Amino acid sequence: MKLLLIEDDRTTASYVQQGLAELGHACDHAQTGLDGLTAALTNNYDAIILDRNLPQLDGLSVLQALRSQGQTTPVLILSALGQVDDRIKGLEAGSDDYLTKPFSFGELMARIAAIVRRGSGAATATTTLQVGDLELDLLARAAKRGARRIELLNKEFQLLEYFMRHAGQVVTRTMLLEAAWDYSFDPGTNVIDVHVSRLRGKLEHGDEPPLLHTVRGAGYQLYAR
Amino acid sequence: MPAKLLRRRRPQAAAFRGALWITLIAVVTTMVALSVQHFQTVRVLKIELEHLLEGEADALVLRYRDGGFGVLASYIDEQALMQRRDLVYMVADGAGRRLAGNVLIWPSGLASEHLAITIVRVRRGGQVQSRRIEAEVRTLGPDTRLLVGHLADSRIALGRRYWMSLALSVLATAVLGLSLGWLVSRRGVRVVRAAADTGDRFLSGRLDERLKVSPRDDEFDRLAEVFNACLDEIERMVRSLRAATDGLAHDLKTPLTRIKARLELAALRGGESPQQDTLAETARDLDALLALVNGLLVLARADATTADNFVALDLAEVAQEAYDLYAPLAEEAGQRLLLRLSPAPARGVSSLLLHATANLIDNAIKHGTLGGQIVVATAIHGAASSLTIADRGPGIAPDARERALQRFSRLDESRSTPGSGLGLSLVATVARVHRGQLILADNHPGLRAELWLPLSRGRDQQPARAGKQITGATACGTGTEW
Repeated sequence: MKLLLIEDDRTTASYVQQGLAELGHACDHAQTGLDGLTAALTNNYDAIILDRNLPQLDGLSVLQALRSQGQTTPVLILSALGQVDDRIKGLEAGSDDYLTKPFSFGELMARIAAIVRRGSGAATATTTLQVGDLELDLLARAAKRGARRIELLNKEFQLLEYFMRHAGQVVTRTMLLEAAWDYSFDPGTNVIDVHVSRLRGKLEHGDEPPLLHTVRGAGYQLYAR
Repeated sequence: MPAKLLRRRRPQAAAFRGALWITLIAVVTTMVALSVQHFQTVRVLKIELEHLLEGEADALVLRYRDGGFGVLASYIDEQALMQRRDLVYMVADGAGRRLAGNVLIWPSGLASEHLAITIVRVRRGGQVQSRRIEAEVRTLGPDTRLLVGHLADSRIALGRRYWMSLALSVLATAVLGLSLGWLVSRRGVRVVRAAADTGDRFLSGRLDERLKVSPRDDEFDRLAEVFNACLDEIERMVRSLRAATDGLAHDLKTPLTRIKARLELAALRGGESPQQDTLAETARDLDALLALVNGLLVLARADATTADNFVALDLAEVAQEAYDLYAPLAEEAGQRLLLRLSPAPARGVSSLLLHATANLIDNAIKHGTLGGQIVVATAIHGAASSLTIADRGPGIAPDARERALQRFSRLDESRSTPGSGLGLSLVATVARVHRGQLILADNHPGLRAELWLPLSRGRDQQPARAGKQITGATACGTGTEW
């Protein structure tokens, strides 16, 4: 992936760049809003990581300028301002996701992967999702694994739908919290873990092969081997 | 239930009380003035009468000395016949038998030389009447007494007029006093009410609300100026608190972000080097630190919440959502969450109330006993809506309850249990900014945490701003710890 990072703090930017390089991604860095906007308009990036507090031109203005030019490159806002209002402003300005500082590297990578795929993937209206022998009927709100029907509670259904839409990707706990509960506070990782482990219990009966995998230090991943 | 939520206000009470006081003062003043005038008049009249009667009596005594009884008697009879100056006369012997004059019977017990009031039978104009008189007595000889009296009619009339005018004046003063007093005290009350209304609007989040200051520059205007200065100060503090919170968020998080990124990068590069454990531990410590900072920020934000962010909501829905989130966790911990919900409408910020409820449930799960029940209930009591979370754990001793609400306070002295000591103080802060109250009570056994908010019926039309796709959790590593 080729990414653009617009961030005024040199140290943070340098570490993000190095981390992305470790994972095999190229990342350009712009230190001011204006430089970032120019870079974004002249090059072709898979995604843009945008800080909000920037000299010359603040992050939201950069984003608005990009969108008014017809640029649809996925943008992830990175900001210390983490209130619901701040997030709403960022998402209304046209960003695809919003991540609050300080962030973990795993979280950042998971979210970039999610928005890049969302941007390029076929956005067709699907009525059923399938991962291995697991099937989710969105209209009938029914799940089955092979021939076995799975009874799901409302929240479990939402969680599973999110997992299946992001099959193969690392999904973090905060991403799950945002997707299924839209909370502006984090009730702690153990709360989410309990919900996921219940879902897992329903998905994997007896000697059925595992589907929902724990990714240490990052989150979960749904895939069939 | 908090008493302040149940208090009813009586409008106009202060204005009415003011008018009543003014009237009372006016009535008393009028009565005193009239009475003083009356008794002065009575005194002057009495002195005049004394002089008159004394003069007449002395003249008659002189006439008796000069001319003897015959001259006196004929003079008296002549005078009595003329009915001049309302005077009556009598000359009597020692046994009280009439010798001359128009008073028929000597009034019993009348002996003194001083003015006295008595009722006598008197003949006037050929008729015998019972009249009240003021009388002087003189002793003419060893067996002869003289009585000179004055009909007291005018005195009685004067007294009657006094009582009549007193009643009329009091009535007029009362009517005037009540109406004028009402008008006058309304101005004061209007100023006070304007101040109260302004304060109310200010409290409901309109930080630019101020009292009007008139050009009269009187005490009321001074009050308004002081009041406005206080509002200025509060507005400044609220705004600076918000700014400080944002500044804190940025300045504190930037270096932490660097450290975390540095550690993670080292971990990515390091492979299976022995540094791994150290790195992981450091990262965990940092997460705890970040959780604390986030907890403080959430608290500071909650503290600066004003009513302009409030929407109509139902505590039962908040409780239901918290239940959905925590029921599996409770079950995992070997406890059971029970819902007893009935509608409990209130106004507030639902994310804050949910956070507070989550903190209370989390607390109940942490301190509850194995196999215990945790009851989550909502209800209306009078003018308040309540959300109650009751566990069967060890509870909190009454003398430790207040301390439990303070920031960073942990009742576990060793501070070995995880948590920052911010959980309950967030709940208390959330209650306060919603103009409600958090009450910790005994559940016999266990803790019974009650969140009381003012009842608010009728939902407003404004849709909730936070849509699902655009909200979410704050930074990673935030913990809802105690």
